[in-house]
Amino acid sequence: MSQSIHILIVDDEPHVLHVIKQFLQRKQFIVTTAQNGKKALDAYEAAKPDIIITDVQMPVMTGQDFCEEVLKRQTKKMPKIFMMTSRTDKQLRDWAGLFPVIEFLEKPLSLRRLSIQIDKVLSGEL
Amino acid sequence: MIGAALLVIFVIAGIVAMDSRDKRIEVIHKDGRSLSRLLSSIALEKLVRNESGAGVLQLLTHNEQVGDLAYAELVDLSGTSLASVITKDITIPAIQLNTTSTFGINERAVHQAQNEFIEYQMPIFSANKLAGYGRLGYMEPNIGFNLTDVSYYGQVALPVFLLVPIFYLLFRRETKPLAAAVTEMQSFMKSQDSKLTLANDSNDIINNLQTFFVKVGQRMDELTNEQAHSQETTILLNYQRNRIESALQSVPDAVLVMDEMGVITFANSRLKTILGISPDEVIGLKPHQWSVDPQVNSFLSKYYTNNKSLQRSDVIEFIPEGLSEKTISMSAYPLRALGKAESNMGTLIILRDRTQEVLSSKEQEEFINHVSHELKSPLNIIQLYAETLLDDVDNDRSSRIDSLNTIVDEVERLTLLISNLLNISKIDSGNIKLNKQHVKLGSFVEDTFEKVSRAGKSSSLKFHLNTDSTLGSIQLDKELMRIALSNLLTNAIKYSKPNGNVTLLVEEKSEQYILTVIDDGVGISAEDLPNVFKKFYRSESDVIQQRSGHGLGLALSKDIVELHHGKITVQSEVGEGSTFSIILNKQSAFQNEVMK
Repeated sequence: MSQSIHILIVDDEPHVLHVIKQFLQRKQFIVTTAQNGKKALDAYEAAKPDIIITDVQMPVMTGQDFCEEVLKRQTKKMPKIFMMTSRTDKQLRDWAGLFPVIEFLEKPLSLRRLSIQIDKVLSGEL
Repeated sequence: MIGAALLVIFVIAGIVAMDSRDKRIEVIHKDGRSLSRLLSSIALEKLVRNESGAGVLQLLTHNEQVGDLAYAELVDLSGTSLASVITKDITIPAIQLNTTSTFGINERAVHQAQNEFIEYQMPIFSANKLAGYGRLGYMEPNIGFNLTDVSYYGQVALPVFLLVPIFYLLFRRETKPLAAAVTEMQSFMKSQDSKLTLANDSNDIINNLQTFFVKVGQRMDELTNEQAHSQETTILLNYQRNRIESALQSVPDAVLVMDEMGVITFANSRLKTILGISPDEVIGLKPHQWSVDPQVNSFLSKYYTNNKSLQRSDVIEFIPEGLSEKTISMSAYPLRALGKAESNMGTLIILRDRTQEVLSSKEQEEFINHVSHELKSPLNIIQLYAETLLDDVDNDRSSRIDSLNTIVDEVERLTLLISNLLNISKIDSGNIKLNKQHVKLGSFVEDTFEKVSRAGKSSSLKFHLNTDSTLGSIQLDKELMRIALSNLLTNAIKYSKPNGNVTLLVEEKSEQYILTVIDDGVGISAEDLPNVFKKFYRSESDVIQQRSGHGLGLALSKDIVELHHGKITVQSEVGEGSTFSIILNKQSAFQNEVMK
């Protein structure tokens, strides 16, 4: 099943991209990475991922803008979006409340927690 | 009173009458005797009327001033009438000759039915022989008035009797308004002041007036005292009011007092600073007359329209019309009389300029977001690598070393950020104490430069240190100054372009050392340049946003240099690079002062 699942990771920290990519690849997912929202949009268009994991504070295009753009361009199937954030402010939560496809992943990120969440998505629990 | 006046008039009249009668009797007495003597010296023949003309006796009747003389008669020795005259409408009483004193003048009272006479009898001679007697009769004056006085008494009495009723009528007429005034006064006094009420309601105008004036006098004294007392109280109250008003004027917030009808009764001058409205423009007006902000109007109208029990203190925040950069908070406090929760004495309104607080809390919030991002990013990486190591699936040695190196780097980054934060908060709160020591500047800059450039070695940058090995030593807090210089160098690296240069130039001047960090990186826009040393300031530009930073490094460097009485300067141009200089005095400003 995992073989057919495509995951897009977006973060301005190369280390983060590197580690998560390795981790997910080991779990047999197809992984694409991007360093900012703009590059991620191109990757999204090309790959049509099932799951997106994105940082919020990024240069060029923020995670928020990227998500809105993705949701605007949605085709037949809506990807599940995980936002990695250290921000717990109300404004971001309120904004995310508008989109049921968005989930939050608190920083510092745990690979185990990420794995559990992805499993939940795949089992249809999320 | 009138009775008394009439009595007096009668008594006086009586006395006058009595006196006049006595006087007339005296006149009669004198006249009688002298006339008797005169007749007695004239010979009988001359007294009697003869054919040739009137005798002397006849002359008496022609005398215009006959007075009270009623009759004169001559009789012979036997009492037979020889001649007689009468001046009044009477009959001569019968003679009663007194022969006892033949030669003297004899006076007596003679009574007749209608009249009383005083009669004088004198001897009359003819050729030196007693030839007969003469009689002169005077009317005895009545008590009161004799006819001659009637006109006189009439003259006196008429005006008196006319004047009495006139006077009385006049008196009545004059006192009528007075009586009315007294009645009015009484009702006035009753309504105005119970202390002035007259004791009796008698109709004695004069008495009432007198009582009234006495009471009014007393009351005026009392009122004067009361007025003096109330003047003192007024002065005291004025003083206290002025004090309260001047206190309200000095309050740093705008203070308004609104009465229970919503009309502003007091406004202090701060209103002008805070809302741009002068107090004169609001006093005497209701909120909708001076405010165009519907939020303010509906907020304030609660305090003078709604049920009193609903009123409680409340606060709103609004952006005033035409002052969009400001944030004003408006608090309203219902005023109650002491101990009377239900009373409504108006509303106290306090306007506070919260612009700075809102801005700084916004800044603070942004800063916290930023710092938490900056803190969590390295933590995130550490967590991820640590987990990878734990999983131990991909356990080749080189990737493990890579992971551990990354963890070490991130821990260093975290440490630097935390120490920057701690230092800046220490400097901000004034809790930092410089640990100054003699430092050889040459080795200090070499050491610092070496550490920073080693970390940046992996990049394509070229590092240049341009220093004189003969540099002297200087008093510095070595650790803090290292942070200040490192921040400039790490910024030069962070904002560099690929294959760029980072140069540290150290110069010794006669009184100063100048440490200059030069890069040929992205540069700083003219817009950002004045703000680069501000705490938490980060440029909006994408080029800068792409690079991680927390807006603390330069602020901290500046603080540290200034703690050393030095100066920090910047020159930059977008795309050309930046030059930051730290200028340190060889002797501190304080020492310079002492040397002078």
